[in-house]
Amino acid sequence: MKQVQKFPNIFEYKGKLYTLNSYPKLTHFEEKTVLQRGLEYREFRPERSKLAAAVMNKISQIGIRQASKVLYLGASHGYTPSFISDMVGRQGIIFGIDVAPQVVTRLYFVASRRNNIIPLLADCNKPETYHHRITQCDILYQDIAQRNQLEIFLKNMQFLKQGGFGILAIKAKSIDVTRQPRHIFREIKQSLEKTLVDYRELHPYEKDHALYVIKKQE
Amino acid sequence: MRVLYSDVLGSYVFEGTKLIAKADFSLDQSIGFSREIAEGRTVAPEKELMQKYSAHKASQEEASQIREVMADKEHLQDLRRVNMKITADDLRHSVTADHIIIHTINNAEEVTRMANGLAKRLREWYGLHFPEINEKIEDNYGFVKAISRKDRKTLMDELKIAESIGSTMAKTELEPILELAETILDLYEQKRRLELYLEKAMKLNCRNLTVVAGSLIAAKLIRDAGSLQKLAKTTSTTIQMLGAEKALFRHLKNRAMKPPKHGHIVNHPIVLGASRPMKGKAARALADKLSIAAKVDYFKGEFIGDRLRQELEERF
Repeated sequence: MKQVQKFPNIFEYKGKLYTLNSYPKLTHFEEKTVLQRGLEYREFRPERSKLAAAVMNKISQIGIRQASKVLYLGASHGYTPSFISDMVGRQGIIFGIDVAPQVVTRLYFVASRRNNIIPLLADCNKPETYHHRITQCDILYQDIAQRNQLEIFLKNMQFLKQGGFGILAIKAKSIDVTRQPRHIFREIKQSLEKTLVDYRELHPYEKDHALYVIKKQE
Repeated sequence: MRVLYSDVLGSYVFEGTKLIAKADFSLDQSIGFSREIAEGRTVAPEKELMQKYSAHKASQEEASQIREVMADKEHLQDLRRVNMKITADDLRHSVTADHIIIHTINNAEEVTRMANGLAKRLREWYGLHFPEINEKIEDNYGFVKAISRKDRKTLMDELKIAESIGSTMAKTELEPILELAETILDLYEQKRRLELYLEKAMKLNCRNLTVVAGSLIAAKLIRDAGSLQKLAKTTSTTIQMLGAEKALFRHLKNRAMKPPKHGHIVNHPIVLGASRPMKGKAARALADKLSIAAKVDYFKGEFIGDRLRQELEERF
């Protein structure tokens, strides 16, 4: 196992990505595990996670550290959140928010086994409905396929600490299905320019998707 | 400058970054107050504290600062505990009539697909014994019913077929085939019952929409829109297109390709009965009335479905 530079608990082995399991012997999505020197690693697939895809495409920074507090908008079933749960370790915390009861049910079960995940059934378009349930975070991670994705991201910036990192996954077709994805990506890049740290398009793992990392400045 | 802020664990009065007063919530209060705060209301403990300490409610910036100060390990553990309870409660109350309707219509379609798929297999298998009947009965349900009830000789007499080039089959060879036929009949029967159930559920949940569109089409519209609320909020032109997404996006990406005139509503008697040049107008008019019906149903208004239907039938 070789640690991927700068990223805590993310490893690479034989061309695949892994995280060090914060809750050993626990898997939730039928992911493969590897045992090395008594430590258990879970396979982190870029086909299933946009964050993994960005790391595979050699993004320079994601900002997530051990013990980070993460606000995850669009947590869905909890695949990526479970791996961020490994990255931040048992001292970290992830508030996973999604609006669909069917997926929050799955997320709830994952959270029951992983104490550092907290599931919320809420609409990310309305931070006023959950501001009192969460804390200020070091990381704002968003993966929501809606037309006003960028607006939602900015609305939830209030929960990100100064100097914290924002990670935004963009699906070009959700914003405008008729326009060329690279035009949309360029526009997003321009909107975020002042705070942009790095970004990557996610092919070949996801078509017409990109991930942006920003840092909240003074 | 005293500031009041509440999270799900309690209400707090801060002076700068110093906590000068607080009111902890019990677990029951946490759950109840959480909803009220989410709706923007001020709860009793907040009013008391605001009065007692002459504090004003925290602004967004002040709230952010307070949240940061409060985030110690114990607080976070309590936050998790309460959130799990609130989310569990939210999930328990999250099932609506829409969800049930969507599952029902999806299952009806699934069962139909299964029955038709198995019927194909049945035709081939039974065709070893009596291939002539395949062409004679085109309807799957009719075919399955016929061969499960009557033997080859009877069918040949009824359908006026003199000879069969199929091979004779022993009783033991026919048994599994007939068992398959029974299974398929079961599925068709299940579908029939599902549609009755759907009809009842639709009439209860959205009377107007059901009268104007019929329960099947209305259920598909709700499913494709996501919920009755979304259907009520969306435009009539979208309703017109629901179900024709493939053709719609093909047109949007390539203006040379013509846009579709109708999605699920193509199967509605008013659109089916319209002449070629009038089909588009009929689809548009129907979609308009459906839009009105959905809105009335969502906001639980009066029953105007029959009037809407009548207006359409008069025009077309």
